[in-house]
Amino acid sequence: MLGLVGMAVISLAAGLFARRWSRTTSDFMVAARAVPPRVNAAAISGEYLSAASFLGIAGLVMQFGYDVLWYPVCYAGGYLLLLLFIAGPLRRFGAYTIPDFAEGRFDSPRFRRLAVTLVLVIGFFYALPQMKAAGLTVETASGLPYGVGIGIVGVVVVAGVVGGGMRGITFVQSLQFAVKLFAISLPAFLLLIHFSGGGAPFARGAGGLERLTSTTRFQVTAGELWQIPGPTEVRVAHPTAYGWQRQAPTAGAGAPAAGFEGGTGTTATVNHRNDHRRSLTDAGALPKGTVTWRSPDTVTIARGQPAPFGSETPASTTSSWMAPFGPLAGGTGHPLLFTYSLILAILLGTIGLPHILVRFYTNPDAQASRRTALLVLVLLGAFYIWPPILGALGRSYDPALYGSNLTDAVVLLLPSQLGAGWLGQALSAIVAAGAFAAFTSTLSGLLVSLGGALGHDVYGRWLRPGAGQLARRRAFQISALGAGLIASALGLLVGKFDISVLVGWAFAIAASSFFPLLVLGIWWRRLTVLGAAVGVGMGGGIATCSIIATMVSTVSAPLAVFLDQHSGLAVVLAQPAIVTVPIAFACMVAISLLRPRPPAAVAAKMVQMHAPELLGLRTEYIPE
Amino acid sequence: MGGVYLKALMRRQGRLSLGIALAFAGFLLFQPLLDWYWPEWGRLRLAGIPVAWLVLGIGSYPLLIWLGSLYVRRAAEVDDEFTDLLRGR
Repeated sequence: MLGLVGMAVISLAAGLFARRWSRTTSDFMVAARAVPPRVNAAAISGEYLSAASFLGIAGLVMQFGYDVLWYPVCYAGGYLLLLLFIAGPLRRFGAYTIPDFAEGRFDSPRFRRLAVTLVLVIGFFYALPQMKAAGLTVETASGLPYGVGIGIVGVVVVAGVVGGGMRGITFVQSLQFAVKLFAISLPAFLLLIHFSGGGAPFARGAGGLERLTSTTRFQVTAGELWQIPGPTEVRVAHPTAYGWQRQAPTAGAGAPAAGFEGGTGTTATVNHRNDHRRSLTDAGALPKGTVTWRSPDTVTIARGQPAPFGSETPASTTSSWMAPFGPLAGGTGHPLLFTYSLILAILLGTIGLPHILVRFYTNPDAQASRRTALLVLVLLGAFYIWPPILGALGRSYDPALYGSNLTDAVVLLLPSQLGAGWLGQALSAIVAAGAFAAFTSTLSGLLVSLGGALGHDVYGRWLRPGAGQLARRRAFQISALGAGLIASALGLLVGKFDISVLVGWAFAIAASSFFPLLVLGIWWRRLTVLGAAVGVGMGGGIATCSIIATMVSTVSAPLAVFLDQHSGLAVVLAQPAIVTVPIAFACMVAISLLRPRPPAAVAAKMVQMHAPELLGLRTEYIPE
Repeated sequence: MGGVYLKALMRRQGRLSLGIALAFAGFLLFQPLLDWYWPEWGRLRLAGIPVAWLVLGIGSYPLLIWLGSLYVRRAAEVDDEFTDLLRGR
């Protein structure tokens, strides 16, 4: 609680203080290129490390084990690709958003509109899980309801963005990176020492079960589902009935792993017609299998008994959790296909996220831009080592979280395992502050992008093209406020999704639209506007549609049955990058070659992007 | 005439970027195959911790940073050579 309040006050104060420096619109939008590279790199990292990184990865590692390691590695690896192909040329071109690049490279305001639309789609997809994390963190740390947490965070973020603009949040975000790195590494390090060594999560033999480390009370609701990995002694508060069947539940539509990336699929479902009706009066043993509670109750399980798994995590033994193609990829029936598609989506999607590229424009030249990207890689590497360690420790030392479906909160709750003393409490406050920094910094960046797209494009170009600088700045502030309100409202609706679900979707859409656009647009002079538009439309469109199909299959029984029978298709729909990225590239190349109409002055634009600044061959293609 | 020079520069920079990208992609994309065709890989341990976890979850980052710094150095060299070449004419 103290950590949360402290972080909120610091963020607000720093944002308002920085307001004094940001005077012009250019200051407001891109910090006027006056930010030192180190601060800039820390700000980029601070903005990039979202709630999915700070809370989500550890929770997923706890749920699914080895297969989740692709997430942090590819989140960081995406920056290597950005450094190699994008950072230098884009800085020379002077584009600071993807729509700027789209218009500048092809001289087409219509194509810019397509790009702006996609920026808004991806941006909102990415904002929702941050909101969920906000609600979850405030709920866990202070006991306030989920909706109140979202409201508080919405106010803090909107106030910072509207008040300070880009320059303000640059300093806040670089500060927030330091908070996040400290808040994840210190608890992980101390917990490693406390539990003496990292081997314990892997220590159990084949078929080993996770056992509760302390006697735990679970509040169950009517219809709640438990997977019992082995006979478990329990005690109930009231006499109760439950349905039991031997088989493991099937995952919801779209196969288990599909589900994890593609929606509610990890939510296990059971055909209750096969249930055997059982009852418990006081104490007794739950048999191995799937249990569905019939009435709300308090179930107490003693220390040393096997930990039950809730509906959100497939029950797994230590050996299957530890090994590649475990419950995540293995559950799809096509582990290799799933793994490669996941790698592609995250690795390539980073570059296409709307809030990432803005900051590279704040470097003075291409070489500084490259150095900044390299520094970001170092900072990200230092961070991403820790979340999987916390997740693995959580599996061994707090397995009660499986039964209460709270694995997303493992980073927040694990420090209390150090006891109720000052150390445990201090660490809990620190991780809560880190989580707060995580979602506020990413949300701030997103609001700047969304507000920029709405204020600069929708208002400044379509609605009132002649608006002056002051009117535009006002429009940016109002748009950021509006975007914050919409994201908060939507955040109330996504409470039941995994934090990483929506993040995964945003990455998949970005990977199959903006990544091909940027790479080909920068490195291939023959790319035409028609080819680029069709490629972005096809790649982004098909990816969006297939994700929506996966969502629909959670409520549509016929589609769910169909996807169960065609598991390969289900994998591709839920994790479409492996198909949609090649489609986007193929469309761009084929149409550009078939109807060769290179945009005007493409040779000069290539010079602009690739010739070193010292040669002085500059022409500006991006208007203010 | 300038176009020929620029094409040469882009080809050199592009080849440098592509080579480093392929090195990392190879490291990354090889591992699922290793997991698939040689399941023992997932069971190897070092001090109680699975080697596959160490290689992917920790070893990836030094490799990323090394490849990145290699690129930043080489890309600057290529840019400088090109600048000298054009200025020297």
